[in-house]
Amino acid sequence: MERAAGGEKGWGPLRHPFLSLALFPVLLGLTVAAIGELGLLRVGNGFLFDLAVARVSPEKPQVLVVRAEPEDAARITERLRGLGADGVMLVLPDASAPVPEGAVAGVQPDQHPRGEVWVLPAKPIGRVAAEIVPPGQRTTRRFLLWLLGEDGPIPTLEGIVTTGISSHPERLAGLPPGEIMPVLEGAQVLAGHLPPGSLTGLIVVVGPPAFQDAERYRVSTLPGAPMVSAAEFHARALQSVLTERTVIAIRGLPSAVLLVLFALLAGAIGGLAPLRRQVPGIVLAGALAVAGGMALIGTAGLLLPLVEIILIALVLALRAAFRKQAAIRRKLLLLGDRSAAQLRSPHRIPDEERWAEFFSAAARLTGVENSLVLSESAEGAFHPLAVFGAPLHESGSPEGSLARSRDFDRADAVPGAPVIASGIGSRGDVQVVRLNSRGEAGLYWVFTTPQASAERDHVQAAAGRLARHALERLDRARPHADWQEPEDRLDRALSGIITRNHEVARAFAGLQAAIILFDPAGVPLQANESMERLLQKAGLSLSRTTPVDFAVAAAGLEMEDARRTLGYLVRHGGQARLGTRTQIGGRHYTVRAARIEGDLLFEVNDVTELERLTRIEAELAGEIDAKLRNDLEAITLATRLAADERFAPERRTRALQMIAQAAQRAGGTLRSLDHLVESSLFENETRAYPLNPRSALDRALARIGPDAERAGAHVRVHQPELVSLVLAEPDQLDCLIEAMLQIIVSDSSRGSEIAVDLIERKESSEIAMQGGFGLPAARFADSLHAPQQDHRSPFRILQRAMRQLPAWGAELTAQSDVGQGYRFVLRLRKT
Amino acid sequence: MSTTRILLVEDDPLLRELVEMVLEVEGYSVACADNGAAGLEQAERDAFHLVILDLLMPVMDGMRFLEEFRRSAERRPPVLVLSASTTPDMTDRALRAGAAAVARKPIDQEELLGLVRSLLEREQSEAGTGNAGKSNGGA
Repeated sequence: MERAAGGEKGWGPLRHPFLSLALFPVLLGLTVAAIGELGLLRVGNGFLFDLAVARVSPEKPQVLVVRAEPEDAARITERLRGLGADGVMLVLPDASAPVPEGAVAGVQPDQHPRGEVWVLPAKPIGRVAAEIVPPGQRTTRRFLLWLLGEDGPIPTLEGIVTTGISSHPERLAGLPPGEIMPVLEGAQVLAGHLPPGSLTGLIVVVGPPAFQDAERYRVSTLPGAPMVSAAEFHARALQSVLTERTVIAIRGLPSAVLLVLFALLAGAIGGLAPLRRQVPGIVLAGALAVAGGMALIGTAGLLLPLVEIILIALVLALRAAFRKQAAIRRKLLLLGDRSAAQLRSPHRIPDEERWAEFFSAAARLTGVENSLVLSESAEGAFHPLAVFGAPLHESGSPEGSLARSRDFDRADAVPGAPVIASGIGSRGDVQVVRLNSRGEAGLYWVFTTPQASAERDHVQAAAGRLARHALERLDRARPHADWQEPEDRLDRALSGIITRNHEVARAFAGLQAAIILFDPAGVPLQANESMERLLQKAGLSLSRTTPVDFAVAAAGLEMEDARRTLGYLVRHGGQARLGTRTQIGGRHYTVRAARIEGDLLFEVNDVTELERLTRIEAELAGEIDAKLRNDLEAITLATRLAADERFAPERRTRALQMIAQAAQRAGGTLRSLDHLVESSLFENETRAYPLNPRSALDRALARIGPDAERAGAHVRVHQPELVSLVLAEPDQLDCLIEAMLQIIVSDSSRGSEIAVDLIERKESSEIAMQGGFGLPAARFADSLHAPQQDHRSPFRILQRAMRQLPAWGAELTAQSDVGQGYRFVLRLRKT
Repeated sequence: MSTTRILLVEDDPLLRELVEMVLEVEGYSVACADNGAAGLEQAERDAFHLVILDLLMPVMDGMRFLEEFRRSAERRPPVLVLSASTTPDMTDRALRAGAAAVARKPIDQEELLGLVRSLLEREQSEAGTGNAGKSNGGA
């Protein structure tokens, strides 16, 4: 008893998961089997059957069709017997048609209850059969070889003329749509021109031709299958029986058992496989079962319930997909709950390193030394989220017990604007600023400022800009926030800032130019080492520099001009060259400003060496110009001389030789010029900045949109919501994407589709596009590499951009073939 | 009847040969030099009615030739400068150095001959019955 009880206890926890694993598949298998028995999936299975049969190669015809009216049936039957026909089947349109003596008469068995109309004798009489097929009556590929009569099995018409009795009466005839049946007219048979014995070995189906659609039967469910008369349909069915192309459809209990077994197998894959392999596993099991089933049609003459199997696999795969989503969601919620709990804990400061990193950057940029970020609970208590530098409670406010004072009310009045927190810092050096909008639990940044008033004003202004920046980002994150807690949003917003700063810093570190990036509020966000050295040389402080100050000092602009130019850039975007030969520390620099991703970027290039090279290039270009002019002069003069009849023929020949000489020399000069230009002039212009590839793609799509509309092509764009920054030169990337799109659009026909995808890879982002009719591969390769005369040709733009790609660490793959269209994949390196 | 003699100072052999052919078929007698120094020697040895001069040449360039050419004698035949590089500054310098006309390459046959004829006519009129004439130049 104890063992039994223990056994029950032991089974208790096991039975439940096993049942839950098996119950659904069993029920599903039985349900789908019942649906199949009702005939609701018959069309689908018929289609798969026809599909398998269509691949069978046609065999030698063993059945002949004779088109004849019913009144001639008896005479023709007699004649066919004389010609040696192995069997004759009459397809009669109605019961009143004369039936030859000895023929079996009947109707389609599924049209009448068994034993009601059948007048078949217990034994077949000869091999002549007649079937009455009234016009409009349905003829199907499903037929019976025999029926069970009172005295035993009674063969049907197909059974009489072919094999007679077999163990399984119901068959499906495989009718390949491409099969050709030999046809004779009744008159040809009666005319007596056919030699005796010419039909030996053939079974002949005699029936009237079909003149109306109602009298015709489609031989297959496949598209384009022919419509034939009832006689020909029977002939094809007989051919199928004689060539052993009939199959037995698995139905009833065997079908239900098979489906339940498959459902259990697929259900086990769905329940036991790792989460990410469940759906592919079920789909694979379904595909293998269907492929096996298709193979069985030809090899074993069995038709499994294939559509039922597909249906089961589909339901189980969807169930697994939903369960996967639910599991991921559960995990995320769990993770979120844990993170939120950690964040709210008054005893723990989450991600200290990350917060420290942010405020370290903030201190460097703004001059703030001590920082405290506080969140306010619903009860009005403050909890510190992050502390950096000296603890602020030294100023009189112990950590964790800050009470709401008037300072916070004043900070609430204008979020993003720092106010002096006299209640916290007795010396007036502590300020507080609200980091989120009103209407939700408050987030505050408390920080100290230096004692000196000039320093204090500056730090206060810089911290204010930073706070407004954070406020703006928090508000921007609001519509997408899954978590409603403001500190969560702050955490995410700061994560965004830090991640982006990392990406930008990594990118800038690799650049030769000195770079500084300001946010729209004028706060310096990033500067690389070259810039820090340059600022030091120019006597500027990184934390104090504003874009206008920088433009004045580095580019030598007047204050008003700098304001106007930079204001225009911030409002309208684009880029501007601010100074061409600014001299700092004895070297020459160019200063360029550009709006990138909403921020303002300054790039300072040391052009001292470049200027020297430019001078050399100008001299070289002058020499080449002089050489070319000499060549042109020679060609001009020689051309006239060659046509001047006052010269002897040998001197005119000499003039022609001189033309060739001069042309050859000019060609050499041009080639050297081309090399000079391509190898040095443009390479010096190559630059790469971190930028959002999605914005570049959107801009190019907007520009190409009207052309695509005119061409009637549909542009399908698929791109992720968030993408990483990549390295490229903004203008040239825009031109490159537009050129690729232009090539495809100009080759697209009305109604065609152009697919554009932005795909995130581990190390890169890919812009892939495909469409158009395409060029032959060789011609396309030629267009990509041969010189293009037209400056506006997209291929020329493509060629020029391709030369810049190595400097960006990018790659372009281009393919084309006639009818296949163009395919471009631009792989851009992530920062 | 004496022949109009022209001194051609040009370093490009192809161009030198072609200009020589163009002038000779018009009946002018042409002597050639491949740089300014050789041209000065020729000019010292023989009398010419016109000098056609390139500017960019090795050994002695056209500008130096002009200066030397004008300095060495009071009266000199007109100099037509034919150069591939004639910036406004260089044209001005050549004219101040004594060139009668400056033309930029490429120049076609008709234009070249037109300039040659016009300079020779101007020279003739300035020199009165002068010591140089031409048999069929400018035909």
